[in-house]
Amino acid sequence: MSGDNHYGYCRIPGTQEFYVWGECASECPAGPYPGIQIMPVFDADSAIFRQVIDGRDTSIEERGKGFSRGGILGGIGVGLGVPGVIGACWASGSWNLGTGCVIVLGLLAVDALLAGMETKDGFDAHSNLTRANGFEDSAQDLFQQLQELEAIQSEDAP
Amino acid sequence: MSATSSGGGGSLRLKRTSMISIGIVMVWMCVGGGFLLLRAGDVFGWVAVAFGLILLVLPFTGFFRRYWNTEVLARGFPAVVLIANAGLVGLYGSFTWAYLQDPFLTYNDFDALAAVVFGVAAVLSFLAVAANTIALLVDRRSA
Repeated sequence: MSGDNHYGYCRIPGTQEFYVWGECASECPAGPYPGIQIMPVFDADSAIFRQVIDGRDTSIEERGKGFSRGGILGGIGVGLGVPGVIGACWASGSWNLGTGCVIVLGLLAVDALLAGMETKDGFDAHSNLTRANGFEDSAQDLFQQLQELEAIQSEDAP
Repeated sequence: MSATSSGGGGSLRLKRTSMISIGIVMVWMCVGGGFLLLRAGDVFGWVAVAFGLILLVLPFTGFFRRYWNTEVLARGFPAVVLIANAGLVGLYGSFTWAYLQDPFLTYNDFDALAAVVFGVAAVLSFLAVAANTIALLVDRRSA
């Protein structure tokens, strides 16, 4: 199963079909989940929708990882950096660029670089999700197309 | 401003306030952020949680207590503390803002939990800036 309780899919065991679900743009057919429609679709019909859901899942995870790692490294940089710089570079009450100070500044620079890279990854993933025609927009649009396809197929069915 | 002191005021209050406030923010981020990473299947989460637990034990160590009771002689100490704390407000605030702008925020538990972790971290960082500013003003008055 991929996705969440608003947009997602899962394979119907023993078939080439998938259950896909998403929010109804207008009125929903009667079902157990208010505002959400679940429908079976063929493998080929749902391929792009499933790709988008997978991409959306990955981006959500990447955003959480990037922000968490960036936040932790940023907190460590400040928490240990402030007493570290004070102790190594300002211990005598004036600026002292000794070996200890250079090491502390070097470690802080590495920490800041890593925190910055992780934070950038988090914002890149966030952008992939929320920009126009990103994964979130695409999930909505593609589900709407699947709904229209399902409606046409229902009308054609004898 | 001189942060030098020979007792009483000096930068002792600011030092203690800054240590407590950054300690709280770090423990929150290490444990909360670590938990988020573990939920995402990232082993770095264990390192973060372990670091958070070490920070909880740190105040009970002799090394920390000796450091705790020494006043800071550095003139730039208040500026470093306040700028660093303001940086954390910006960092965690931007994460929270990003989540709050996401219309899909409440669709899954991970996003909702992440928004809470970063939101609380942003509030704690802001409170740290406020507490440190007050401590600095009190230190200056009593110097």
